[in-house]
Amino acid sequence: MKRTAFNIKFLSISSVVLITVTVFLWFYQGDIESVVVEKIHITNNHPLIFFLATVTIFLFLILVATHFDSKKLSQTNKKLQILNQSFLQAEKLASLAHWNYNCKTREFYFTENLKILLGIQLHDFKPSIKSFMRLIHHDDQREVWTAFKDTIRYSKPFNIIHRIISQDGHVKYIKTVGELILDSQRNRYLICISMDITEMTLKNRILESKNRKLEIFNSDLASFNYVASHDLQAPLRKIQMFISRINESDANNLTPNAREYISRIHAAAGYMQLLINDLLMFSRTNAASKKFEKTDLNEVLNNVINELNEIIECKRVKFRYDTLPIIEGIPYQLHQLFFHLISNSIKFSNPEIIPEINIVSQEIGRKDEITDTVTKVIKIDIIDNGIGFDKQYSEKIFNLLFRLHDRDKYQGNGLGLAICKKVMENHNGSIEAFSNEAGSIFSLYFPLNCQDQLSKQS
Amino acid sequence: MKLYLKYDIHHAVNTIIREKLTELNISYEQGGLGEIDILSELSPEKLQEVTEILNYYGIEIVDNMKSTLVQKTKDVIREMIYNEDGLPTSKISSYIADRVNRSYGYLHNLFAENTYTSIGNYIIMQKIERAKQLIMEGELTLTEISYKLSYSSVAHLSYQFKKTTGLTPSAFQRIIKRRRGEIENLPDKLKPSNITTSSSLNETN
Amino acid sequence: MPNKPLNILLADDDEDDRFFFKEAIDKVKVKTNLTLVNDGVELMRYLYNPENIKPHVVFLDLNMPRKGGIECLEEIRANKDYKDLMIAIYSTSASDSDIEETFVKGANVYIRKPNDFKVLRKVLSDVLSINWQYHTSGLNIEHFVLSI
Repeated sequence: MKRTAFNIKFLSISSVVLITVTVFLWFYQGDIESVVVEKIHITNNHPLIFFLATVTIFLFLILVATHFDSKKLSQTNKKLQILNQSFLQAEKLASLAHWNYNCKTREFYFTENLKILLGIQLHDFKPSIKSFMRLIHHDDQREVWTAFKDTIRYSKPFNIIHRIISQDGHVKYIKTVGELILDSQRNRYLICISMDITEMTLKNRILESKNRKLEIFNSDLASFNYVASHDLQAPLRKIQMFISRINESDANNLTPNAREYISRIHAAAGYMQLLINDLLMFSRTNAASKKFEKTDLNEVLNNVINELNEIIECKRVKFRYDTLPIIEGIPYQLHQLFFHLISNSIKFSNPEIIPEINIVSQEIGRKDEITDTVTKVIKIDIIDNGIGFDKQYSEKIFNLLFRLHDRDKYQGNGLGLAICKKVMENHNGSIEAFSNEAGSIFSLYFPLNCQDQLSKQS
Repeated sequence: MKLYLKYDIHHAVNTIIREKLTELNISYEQGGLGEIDILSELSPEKLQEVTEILNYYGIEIVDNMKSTLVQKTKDVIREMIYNEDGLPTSKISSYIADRVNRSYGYLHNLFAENTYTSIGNYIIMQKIERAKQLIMEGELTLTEISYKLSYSSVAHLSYQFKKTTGLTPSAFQRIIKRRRGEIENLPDKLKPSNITTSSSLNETN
Repeated sequence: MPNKPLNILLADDDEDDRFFFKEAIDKVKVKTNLTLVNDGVELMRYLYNPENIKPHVVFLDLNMPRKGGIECLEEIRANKDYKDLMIAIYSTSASDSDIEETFVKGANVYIRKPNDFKVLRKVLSDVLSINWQYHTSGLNIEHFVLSI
C-alpha cells in the first residue's frame, strides 16, 4: 500500500518537473502559436526537446493509469476495512476469536477479541503460543498441547473443548478448532478459532443435573409402581378373597344388614382394584422400556376383539374394519390402545340401536405447523354410533382421571383415554376425538417415517 | 356231614389268577388289594379271554376295560388330529364312536369320569398341541395350520389358542424360541453339571 | 380307574395365600397330595432331599424372602432331575412382559392370584386337570405354557 503511494508521488513530481522543463525549452525556441505536439516534432529538431517530450508523454500516461489504479485500490482497501471491521464485530458477537501461529517464525498472530475472550489485558500479553498455553487450565494443558502438536505434525484438524483461567480467576470453557494450512511460500500456519462456550456449558450442566434428578425421580416412581402392584394389591386381594368366602359359605347366617354391608365392601374393594390396575398400567406406559418392533395391527385388533368377545356378543356389536398396516411399535401398548378405544365404544353405545364400530385406515399427508412440511402419516379412525360426547370436552377427555359420567351409570375411572394418549405419544403420534349426534370418531395418527426406515432395513 | 371251612379269600383269588394267567402265558405282578399289573401288552382279544375266564370265577375286571376304552378314545383322537390328510369330514362324534365301537354318549360319560375332562376339551387340547408343534416347526403359516386343523379361520384358531393357553400364537412362538436360546446360554453357575443332588443337599443343611 | 394323585407343592411365604390355596385344592376334583413350604430356600431343600416324594407340579410365588421364585425357577430348570417338573408361577398380577419372562425362563403356567375364591378354585381345577392330561397322555412339556 505504502509503496504504491510513493510511486504515485514520485511519478507526479517527476512529470510536473519534466513538463515544466519541456515547456520552457520549447518557449525558448519561440513560436508560441503552435503548441501542438506534431509541431514540436516538426519545428524543433532539437533532440533534447524531442527526448524530453517523449518521456513526458510516457510518464504522463503512466500517471493517469496509476491514478485510476490507485483509486480502485483505495476502494478495495475501503471494502477490506469494512469487511475486517465487520469480521471483528462478528467475532465479538459470536464470542469467538481467530489466531494463527507461524510454525517457522513462531509468530503468534491474534485478533483483538482473543484478549476479551481470554480475559487478559493487552499490555501484559506477550503474543506467543507459550503465553497462550499458560492461560489454559492445568488439567487440560496436556490435551491441548497434544492436539496442537498432532495437527502440526500430521496436519490433522482438531476440535477440542478446554478450560482457561482468566486473569480475574474465572474458569471459562473454550472450544478451539484448528487446522494446518500452507501459504504460497509453503510456510505452515496453524490456524485456529476459539469460541467461548462457558454459558452453553453451564446451561448444559444444569440440564444434566436436572436430568439426573428426573432419572432418580423416575426410578422412585418405578419402585412406587412395584409397591403399588405388589404390596398394595396383596392385602386388597385378601380382603376380596375373604369377602368371597363369606359370600359363598356364610352369607345365609348373616343379618340382612350385614349382607348389605358385605356387598358394599365388595363393590368398594372391586373399584379400588380396578383403580390400582389402571394406575399401574398408566405408569407402565410411561416407564416401560420402549422397545419398538414390527407389529401387525390386524393381529393386535384381533386379540382385542377376542378379549372383549363376551361383551361383544352380549351387546351384539357389529364390526367392520379395513386391513390395518404393520407398523413399528410397542405391541403391549398398542394392545392397550385398541383395547381402551374399542371397549369405550362398546361401553358408551346407544342402548336403543345396535352398536356398530368401523375401523378405517388410510395414508394421508399431514402438514407440520413448525417446519411447514407435509409428512405422510397413517390415520386410523375408530368410528362408532354411540352416545358421543359434548364437543367442548374433545380435548379434556384425554386428561388423567377426567370422567364425563357418573360411575353408577358407566363404569370407569378416567384412565383409559389418558393411557391411549400416552401410547400415541410414545409412538410419536397423536390422537384426536370428534363427536356428533351420529357417534364418536377417535383418530390415531402414526408417523410414517419410522415405517419407511423399517422397509429400507428389510 | 358238614364241613366247616376256614378260608383265605385273597389267597384263593390270587391262586386262581396265578394259575389262569400262567396258563394264558401272561406275566404279571401282584399290585395292591384287587390290583394286578400286567407286564406285557395285551391284545384286545387276549384281554377279552382273560376277562371271560376270570368272570367264570366271579372275578370282574373293573377298570381295565374302561381305561382301555378311554385310552382307545384318546388314541383315535390323536390319530385323527395327527393325520397328514387332515381331519375326517364326517361328524367327529360319530367318527370316534365308530372307531371305538361304542356309542358316543357312553364314551363321553366314561371319558368325563376317568380323565377330569370331556372328549370335546380333550380334542381342543390335542388340536392346540398339534398347532403348537406346527407353529414351532415353522413350515406352515397360521392360515395353513388353521386349514389343516379344520378351523374356519385364522381368527378362530387364534381365539382357541389364546383361550387354551392364555397366549397368542405369536407370543407362544416368541417364548419357545427365546426359551430354547436362553437355556443354551445359561450362566455357568446354573449349568446342569454343576448341580448335583448330594452336594446341594450338604449346602442347604 | 384308580387315578393316581398328583403330587403338588406350593412355595409361598404368605400364610393367608397358603390357606386359600389349601382350601381350594381340597375342593378340586383331581386327586392331589399337597405339600406346603414357606419360601424358596425351603423349596429347594425339599427338592434336593431324595427321601421326599417328587412333586409333579410346583406352584411358585415370585416374591419371597431369602430366595425368590425366579431364582428357584432358574435353579430347577438347570437341574436334569427335574426336567419334567411342571412349574406354575403363582403370583400377584404382573405385566404381560414380566409374565413372558418367566415363561422364557422355563415356567409352564402363570397364575395371577385371583381375588375371588370361586375363581381360584376354577383356575386350580383347570391347571391341575391340564397337568394331569399332560402326565397321562405323555405330552411335550417343552411346549406347555398356560397363562391364566
